[in-house]
Amino acid sequence: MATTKVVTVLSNDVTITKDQGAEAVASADWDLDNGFGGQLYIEVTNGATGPTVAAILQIYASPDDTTYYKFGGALGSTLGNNAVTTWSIPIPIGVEFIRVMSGSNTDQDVVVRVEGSEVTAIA
Amino acid sequence: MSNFKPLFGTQLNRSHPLARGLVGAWLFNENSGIYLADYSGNENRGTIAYLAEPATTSSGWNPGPLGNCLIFNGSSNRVNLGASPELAVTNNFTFVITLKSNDATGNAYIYGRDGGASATQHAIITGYVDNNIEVYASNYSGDDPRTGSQLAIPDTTTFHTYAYSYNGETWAGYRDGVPIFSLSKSFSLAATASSGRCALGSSAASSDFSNIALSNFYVFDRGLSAEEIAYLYAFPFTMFESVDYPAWMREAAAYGESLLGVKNETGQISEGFLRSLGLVRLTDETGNTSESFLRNLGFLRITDESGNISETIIRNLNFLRISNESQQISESFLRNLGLIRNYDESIQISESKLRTLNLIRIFSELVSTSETFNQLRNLVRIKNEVQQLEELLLRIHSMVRITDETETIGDQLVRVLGMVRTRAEVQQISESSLRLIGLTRIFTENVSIIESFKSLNYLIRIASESMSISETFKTLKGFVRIYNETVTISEFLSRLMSLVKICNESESIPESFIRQLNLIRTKNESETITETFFGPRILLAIFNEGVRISESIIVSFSMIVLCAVVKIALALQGTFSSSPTITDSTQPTISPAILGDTIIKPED
Repeated sequence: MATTKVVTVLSNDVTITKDQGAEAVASADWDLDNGFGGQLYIEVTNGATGPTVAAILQIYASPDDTTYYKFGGALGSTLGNNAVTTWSIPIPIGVEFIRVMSGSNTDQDVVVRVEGSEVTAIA
Repeated sequence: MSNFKPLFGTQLNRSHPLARGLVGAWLFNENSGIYLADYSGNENRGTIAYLAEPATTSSGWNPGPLGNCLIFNGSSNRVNLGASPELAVTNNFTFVITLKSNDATGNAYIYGRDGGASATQHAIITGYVDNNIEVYASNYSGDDPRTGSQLAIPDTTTFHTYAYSYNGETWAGYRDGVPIFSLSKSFSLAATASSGRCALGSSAASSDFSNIALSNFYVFDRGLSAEEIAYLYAFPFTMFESVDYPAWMREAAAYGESLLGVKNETGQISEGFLRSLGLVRLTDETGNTSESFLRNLGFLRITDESGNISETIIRNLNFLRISNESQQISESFLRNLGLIRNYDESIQISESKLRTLNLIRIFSELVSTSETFNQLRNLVRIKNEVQQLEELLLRIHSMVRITDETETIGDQLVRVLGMVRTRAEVQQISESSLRLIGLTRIFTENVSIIESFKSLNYLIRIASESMSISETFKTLKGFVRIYNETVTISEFLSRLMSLVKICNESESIPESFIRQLNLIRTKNESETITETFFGPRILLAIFNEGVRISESIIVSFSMIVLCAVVKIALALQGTFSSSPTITDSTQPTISPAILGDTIIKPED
């Protein structure tokens, strides 16, 4: 069995500026209309000096790209200097749109990268 | 049912019985980051303190038995659950925690809650009695819940599930779903204010750190029964919505491909995960699936490239091994199991196997029947439209070919076989009828052949209205009956030998033919029998339905002669009037006694 996957970059190393508050920055919306679900990859990279309060990310799912609902709990990145926190989260087949909100980091910026790999064919 | 942790984002099934009273649920399925989601819906999110990132074997996120787990280093790691007011249980509650204790010899808190000060607290602790877990409470009312609450920690190598349940009357402890103690007690934990503190891996006040690995932790605000505890142990995530793994993940798992996002750091798929999927376990680097494991799961293992399952296992399980593409199941294996392998299209079943199994293969359209196979006796070939049976084969095997609309069977073949072709597509000739030698059974829908008729040999019935009976046919010994569909053959007629009944009104039989059979036919009801028909020693019979051959009609030759003599005598005497009338009184009366020997009296 082989699968065909399409990778979409939702946040391309986006800097989350410090002290913006929770869920201040949104990723691009990921349209999963053409496949069978997929995998969401999230990476948060701290700078040489890590934030005082870690960046928090929240995944949202939506049926219509308008109203978004929380998908799972908040994801908290780690605090250390140069720390890298990653998640790889399966997205079920029933999800139509995905968006990732980032923020809450204080005192230091962090960099967020979000990618989605959608399975579009199974052969 | 899945035993593996639900995927990130899974929702609680609130209609599930074990969701009732669930006020806190931490699944430790994040596998990264410093937050623990509360899956109870109360959103008492936990924050991991001093998380080792990257993880080490003594701290941080690590693979666990049912997915990921979090290892607490025993010195600084803890999960702060905040106030978590929903966790302020008192006299109806249940704690369920799955963990591995790495060191249970020192005082440590696995879970602790207080009201803002340690003076009012309750906790699950370890090491106060070495290698034991127990419940500690302060400022409780009533009986001391700690007394008798020790649950021994069997080992420091594997995960175990410990549960404490109190329903206001019975204080019970369980390990791995098994009741360890059950005590009648009456107590109430100290009311812990909503401003209280709550933690995992340490006391609420952030002291007495545990060296444990936590897999999941539940708090209920009711006392679960022993049955519920046992069920929860067997299916620890049953109250969550079914894991909605994408279809491609299931497919991938079935084919042994790696699963995205559910691999541990070394890229292995855990047993627990595979169990949870209800899929067959693919062996990991070190593991072999034990027989007991297979039996318990009721699953059949699919072997990896190096693995084999002994026949003994399969016999014990009564399962058939599903071979991968490169694996073959031996004939001996099949025979031992008494099973027949489902062959793929490219595999042929040998004759020897057919004979051995006493099975008849049903051919696909693309499979030709070899001559050798044709010679297998007592087999009835099921013919598709494109296949033809040679006449020779028919003769050899006394098999009847069922023709399609366009095919004909020559008269010669019919005679040889003593059979008549069935023309209608939907008709079949049963084996039993095939074995009736000399009889041809024709099934028209409305005509039944009575048994007595079937027993008549040398009868050929021709069902088709359009078929004519050739003279050659008619000269065959026995009978020729021409049917239309509505006519039945009565026993009476069946018993009459040397008769020809012609039911088709439009057909005529030449006299010559009738004479050959010593019969005279009356063609229709309105027809009179002329004297010219009355030849010496020729009998008359009227077979029209409803008309019997009465004695008055069946007259003997002597009777006819007598009548003729009377007529002749009257003529000679010249005594006829101008309109001579023969009255009833003048009619000669002939008693049956004078009938000659040549009269054939039909049966009633």
